[in-house]
Amino acid sequence: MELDKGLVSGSMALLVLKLLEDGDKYGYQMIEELKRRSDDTFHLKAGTLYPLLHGLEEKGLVTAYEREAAAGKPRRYYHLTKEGGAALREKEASWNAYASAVSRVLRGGACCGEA
Amino acid sequence: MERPETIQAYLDAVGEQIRWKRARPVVARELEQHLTDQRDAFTAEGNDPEVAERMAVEEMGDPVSVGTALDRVHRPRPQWGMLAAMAVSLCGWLALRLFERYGVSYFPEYIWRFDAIALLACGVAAAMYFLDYTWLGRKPLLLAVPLLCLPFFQSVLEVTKDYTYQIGTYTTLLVPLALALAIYALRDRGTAGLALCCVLGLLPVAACMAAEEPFGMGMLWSCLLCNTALLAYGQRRGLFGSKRRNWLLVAGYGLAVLACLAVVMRHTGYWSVLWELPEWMTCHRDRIRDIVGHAKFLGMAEVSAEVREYLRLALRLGGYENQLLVLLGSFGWAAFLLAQAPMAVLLGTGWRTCRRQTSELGRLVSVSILLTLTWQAGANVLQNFVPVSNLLTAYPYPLLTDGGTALVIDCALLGLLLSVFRGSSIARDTIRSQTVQTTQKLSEQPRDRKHFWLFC
Repeated sequence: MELDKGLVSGSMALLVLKLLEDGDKYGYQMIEELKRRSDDTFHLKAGTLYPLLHGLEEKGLVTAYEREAAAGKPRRYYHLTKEGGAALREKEASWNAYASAVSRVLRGGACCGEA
Repeated sequence: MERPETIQAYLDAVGEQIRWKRARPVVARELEQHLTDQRDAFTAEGNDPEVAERMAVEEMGDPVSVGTALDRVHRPRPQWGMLAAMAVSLCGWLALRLFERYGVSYFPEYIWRFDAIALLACGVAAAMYFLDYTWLGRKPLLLAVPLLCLPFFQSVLEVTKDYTYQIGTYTTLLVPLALALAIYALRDRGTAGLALCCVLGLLPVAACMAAEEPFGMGMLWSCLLCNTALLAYGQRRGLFGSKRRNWLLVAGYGLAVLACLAVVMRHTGYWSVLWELPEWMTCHRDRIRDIVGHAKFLGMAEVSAEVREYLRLALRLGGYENQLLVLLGSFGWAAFLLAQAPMAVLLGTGWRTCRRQTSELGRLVSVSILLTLTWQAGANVLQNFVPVSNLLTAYPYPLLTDGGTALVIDCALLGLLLSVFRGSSIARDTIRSQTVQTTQKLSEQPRDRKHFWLFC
């Protein structure tokens, strides 16, 4: 099934922040991790990811630092800041509210579907 | 546009879309790392290296849209509010100097003299602003140590040429910046690095103690407040590791400077003066009380005839020691506050923007400059209300009161500060020789040897 790109792009910042919640990662690692966690559903283009990451860094939601990865190559790691954590929780809450509202509508409405 | 097929062609195509040239290599470096990883992954899947590279480039997306998106993020941040506040301050400084000298016989000579100083200050600020500040991170210790030793040569630097006085005294305004560079250079050395920073921070204090006639309290107060705060900031950021005993070193530094301050105060007689003001100082104390007690919001204070005459003369003759008090007495609290408004904007915006700096060098440099200017302004305001001359500082209020050398140095510091803020989106600290560890807080990570790399 082909995913509607509009659905994914609106929640991209949420997905990227979520990926950083359990540890610092570099761009390539994030794309691979997203593929794995979404069961190969989300194929995020690097060209979309980096402007998004730099924008999040600009807003102070993530910070970045350079460090050698396991293979000995220098990589730029991204780290979720305290503000980023708060933004993630906020985005998660609004996404959950939105998703459950859409589900209720698809099931026929709150009064009928959940009765 | 023809689709690029090699990594270099792709990076060039992205770079062409980014208008700020200094940002191009910063962006290219990260994209290249990603493309290399992707190419290696495709090669590992059994593809021919050339095909793998083409596939990696294709996987990356359209270079024009990627470059355009990155161009929107990476732009110089000129800090227009701070630049405007600085321009207003400089114009105000020039207007005040000419107002003070208006009517004296040498007035035409004063006009070109103060114009030249203001132009020089402007030029120095502009040069620092457009200079890539990251050159400070190339050999930070080579810059820091001579600057911290400068107070030893203060008497040599006391050049008096034409209207230029006491150059040596004002170079001590650079001490916190020098210590910030030392902290940056030694930030990966744990407790030993912090101890060395403390020793380096004591050099200007030792110079002050070794001088035949200790040169004012300003530098000792600056070392006590600014340098201790900088060391505490470095420790709080985890630049020397997270050992609690490091805080003892920071406290030890502060106490050592405090002890030296007490010794100098005793030696110079400030100590006894504080307990019992001499006759001539009580007169000035009463004058201060009279002005503060009778100051209006707008207009001249209702003071005695003797104080009124003092205000009239002080307003005409300039001199930086009590200029804020004279402004208060002559024009009221509104003038007192208005004169400081541009500096309040500069410091307020500066401290707020400083928190958003992503590189360690940018943070340390901006904190050191802001500490220097905040202390200089705060000490000057307090000094105006203290009857003991030069007890807290002998430096003028930054960009406001009389003092051309201090004006030029303060403008240089502000230019450097604005240069840090301007290039904040492309400033990078790098860490070598460390495999990544996942942690919840960056500040809790062990700090390893960092190197700043430059993109000019």
